[in-house]
Amino acid sequence: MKYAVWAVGVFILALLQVALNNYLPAYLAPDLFLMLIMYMTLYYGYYTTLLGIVVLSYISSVFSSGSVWFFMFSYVSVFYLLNFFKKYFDRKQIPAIVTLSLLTTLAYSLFVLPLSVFAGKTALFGAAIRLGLIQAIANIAAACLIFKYVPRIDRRIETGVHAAP
Amino acid sequence: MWDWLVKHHRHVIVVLILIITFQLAYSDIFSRGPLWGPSKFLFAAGSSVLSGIAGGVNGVRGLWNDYIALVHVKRKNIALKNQLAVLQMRVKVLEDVEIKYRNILNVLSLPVPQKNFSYVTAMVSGRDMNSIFRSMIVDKGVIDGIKRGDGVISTAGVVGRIIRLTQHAADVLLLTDGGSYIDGIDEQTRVRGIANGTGRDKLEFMYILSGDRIGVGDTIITGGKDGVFPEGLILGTVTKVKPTPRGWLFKDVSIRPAVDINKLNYVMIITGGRP
Repeated sequence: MKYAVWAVGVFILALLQVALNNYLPAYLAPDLFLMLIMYMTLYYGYYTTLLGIVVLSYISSVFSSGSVWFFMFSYVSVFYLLNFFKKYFDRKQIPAIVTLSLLTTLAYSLFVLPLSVFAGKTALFGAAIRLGLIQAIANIAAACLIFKYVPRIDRRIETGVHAAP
Repeated sequence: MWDWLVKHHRHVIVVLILIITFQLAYSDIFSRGPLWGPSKFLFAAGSSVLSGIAGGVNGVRGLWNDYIALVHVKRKNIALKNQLAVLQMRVKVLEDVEIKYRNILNVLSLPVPQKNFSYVTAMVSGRDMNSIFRSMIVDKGVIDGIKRGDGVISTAGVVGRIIRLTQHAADVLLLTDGGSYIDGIDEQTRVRGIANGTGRDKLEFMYILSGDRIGVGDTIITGGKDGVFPEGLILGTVTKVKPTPRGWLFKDVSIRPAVDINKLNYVMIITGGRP
């Protein structure tokens, strides 16, 4: 049941993202799904997060012209990187969230690089980096809200970041 | 080996997922498949909610613009009337030129380009989930006579084309998206090329031979050969022509789109009379 509620919540979050992108300039609209993946990496189980990423990629592709594989590749890459780094963030709540948000935003932009190069669209990478740098502040704000309001679905306090701010 | 795999199984799983998805993503980065099954349902449900929100927001905006923010309207009205009179005279002159042009085409037995096309006005209700891709959702669909591949324009020029649609909503691939390719012509020199989106607010005008004449400030219009847009709709203005090194085949030409995509609230979808 809680997974169904979670899926409905993600769908509403996707609609919110589409509406935000419509009414706000690109640099003011945070990437809600990216921040949710960051939160899941910290507070959800390993396989629950991977499953969540599949759902998020699918919903992203419904409301985007990008393919589900594009989203899956970039989201899983970010998850893997964060999973590696999370142990270095210990008990410092707001600074940890700020640093992780920046790291996540940058990592996402970087992971667009191989795809854009192979697809012969290096301008996409430039666009992603440029947008990521100016979008970072909006992402931090979104991350703080997600950390505060999104419920933890299956476990655990084995990561460094222990509590919502 | 087996022990190592068991010990590092999480890393192995993730690396395998990354390798597989990279292959699929690379071959499918600009996937434009039609909506089906659950995707169609989610898109239809989501776009209904979004058009409700967009209707509400546009209503409030309309209230403000139509009734409250009316300062300087009278002065602006006089200026616009003068502008209209000048433009009406210009239209008369151009209509006369057009009649002569069509007569010449008839005499030479050449195909006469279609002049009129029908369109449906649609409201923009949402933008792409991801800022790297450029698409938007509009509140018109199959029941309004729209088909996959229809061109989308605004009063300023070309906006994009329909890539996916449901009964009551459609997804428009904007001309600035990396996967958008539109046939274009330099209005001044008649040099033909392909306007390709870059994922940013500019286009590349591709396949312009290094010997072709094209300059900054030239207007690029649709060529009418792609079967989507009629000839003569404005795509944008040339902003940069990079000098070609000796031996290179094509020039590097950038275009600024005529339409400010970020400020669009309403668009027109061409439903009939395509070339």
